[in-house]
Amino acid sequence: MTAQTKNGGLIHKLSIGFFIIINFFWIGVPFLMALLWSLVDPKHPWSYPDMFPKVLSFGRWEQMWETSGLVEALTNSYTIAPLVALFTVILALPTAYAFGRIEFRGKKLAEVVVLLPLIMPGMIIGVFFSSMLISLELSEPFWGIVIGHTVLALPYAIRILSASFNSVPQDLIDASKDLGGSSFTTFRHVFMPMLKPGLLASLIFCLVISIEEFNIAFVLGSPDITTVPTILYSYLGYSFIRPNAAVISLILVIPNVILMLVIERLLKGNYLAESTGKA
Amino acid sequence: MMNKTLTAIAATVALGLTTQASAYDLKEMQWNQIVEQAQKEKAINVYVWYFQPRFRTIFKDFEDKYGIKVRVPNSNEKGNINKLIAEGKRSAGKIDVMAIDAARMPSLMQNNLVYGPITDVLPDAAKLKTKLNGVETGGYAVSFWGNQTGFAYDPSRVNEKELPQSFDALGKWISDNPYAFGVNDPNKGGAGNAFIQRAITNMTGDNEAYYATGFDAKNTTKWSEVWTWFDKHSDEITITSSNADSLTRMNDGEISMAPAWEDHLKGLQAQGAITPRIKFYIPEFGMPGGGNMIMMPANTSKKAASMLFINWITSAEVQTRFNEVFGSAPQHPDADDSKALVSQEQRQFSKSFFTADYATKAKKAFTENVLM
Repeated sequence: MTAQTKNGGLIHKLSIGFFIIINFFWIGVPFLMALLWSLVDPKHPWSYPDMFPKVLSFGRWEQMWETSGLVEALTNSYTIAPLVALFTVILALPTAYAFGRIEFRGKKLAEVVVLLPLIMPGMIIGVFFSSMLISLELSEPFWGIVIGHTVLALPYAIRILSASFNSVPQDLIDASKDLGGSSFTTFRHVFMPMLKPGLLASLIFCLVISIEEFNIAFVLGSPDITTVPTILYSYLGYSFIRPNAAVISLILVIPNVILMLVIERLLKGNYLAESTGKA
Repeated sequence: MMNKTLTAIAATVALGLTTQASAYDLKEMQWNQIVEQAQKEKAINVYVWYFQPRFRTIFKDFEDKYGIKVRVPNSNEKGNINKLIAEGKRSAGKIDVMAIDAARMPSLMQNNLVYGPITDVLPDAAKLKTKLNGVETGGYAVSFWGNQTGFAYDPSRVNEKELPQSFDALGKWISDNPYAFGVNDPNKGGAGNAFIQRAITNMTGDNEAYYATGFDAKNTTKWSEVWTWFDKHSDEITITSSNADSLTRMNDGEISMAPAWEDHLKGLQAQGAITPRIKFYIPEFGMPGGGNMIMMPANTSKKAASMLFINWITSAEVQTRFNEVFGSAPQHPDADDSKALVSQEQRQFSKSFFTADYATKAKKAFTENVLM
């Protein structure tokens, strides 16, 4: 139990007030502005010197929903990304285990080689990797994108998971084996609790990488498969129209908020406690 | 086993049909044969990196006229180029027609990625431009979109009788109206690039070398005067981050004048993103005009339909429509350009853009001397 200082209550209230004010300006105001901009009627632009839009309507929402292909893009992105996350983590596990728990000659070099894709410009990887997939006749858009994104996400998953494997205390493994635990039991009761945060972090990273990747998704997918970044690049570049961009941003933020809530729920378990037995 | 056999037969037939479908030579066909073949091809993918929703609407006229479906994928310029390169070795690529900056053409032609010369086939080729922004495409691409830079201004905040027409007058206007003049970072938008090029020619003299291929550093020795001018006005000019940012800030009242594209302004006004109050003019000291070209990739499997589309989009009728809808300068001499934001009198102040070498040097020097 912590002792209450003389001004503890005041400091507590000030801290909460400060937190609310900062978050209001950091998250609330931009969100409200995006909402307001998305409701600007297409026929009545909001411009200086008007403090507020003259006419509000759902015209932009209707227009964007009907013309931008968002539904298809969202469906594609949120189908491809979970597959990419799953495949990447499965493929990353053996390498991550080797990097995290086994000493071998050339390990440092292997670790650097695995990370090489991270320092290559995305456009280079996008063009040449897509070109290679096309040469290999792996140009079926959907699976081509899944393969491309899996390769792009692998270094991240290997890096995160190898750190997780490395953090499993050897004495816990030894204790499990001393108590007669099989390899599976040891994996389930020693490795898994410690690996869970790394697995979740890897899955999230891979999801985000896949959802945000443009080059491979566009080169292999267009015109048959449209993903979210394709829409974003299209609406935020030369043809930047602020009210339309506001609609797109708000529509895109909804699945991400849901995803964050799910992740938050999953991460609520106290993994440290689970792994060490200390509450 | 039976399924495998059937699949193999179907694949062979399909392959045969595909080969047959593309086994024709446009250069040996009469135009009516090309139209006939085009209609058999049913659909094409047209890659344009801007205003896609509006293009989709306009392209319905082509669909209605010829019964050929036009798909305009969402994309950006770099993405389109990357896709073209990545698909280069494929026998049949997904891109059938592509809008392109002329500066990109030489490298794509060198890599045999472009079909041509299309001017050997297009019926109206003699009336179309094959050279744009100093790049001669040798008939592999034709100009379909004319765009002009000038100054967008808010007439509620700028006295129209005192619009600066000379570079000296502009300098004075900037000093009299600090922060009201915006220039976008030339690395992120052509309007800023255009203004910097005119600043160079107005302050150091025009030079034919700027419009010819090849680069000689001695032609840039006087450019330091230009950076000194910008430095002098550094506390009076607002640097914006893009073409769109300049117009957005003007819409919000932050600035009241900025270099902009005529077609960009009109396009944004038509979509209710920018107030229709904003006007546009080309000052007498000149601002560059350029455009975009249209071409077909060498590996399109629908050459006839693509050629028909290129003929349609460059026709006088469609170019007149583009002028009405987008404010782009018609590229067919028989088109009507009376719906533009600027008059024919002002259009005579249109100048050329520098070729790529000098344009790149100007951007780099501006970045080093003014932005950093």
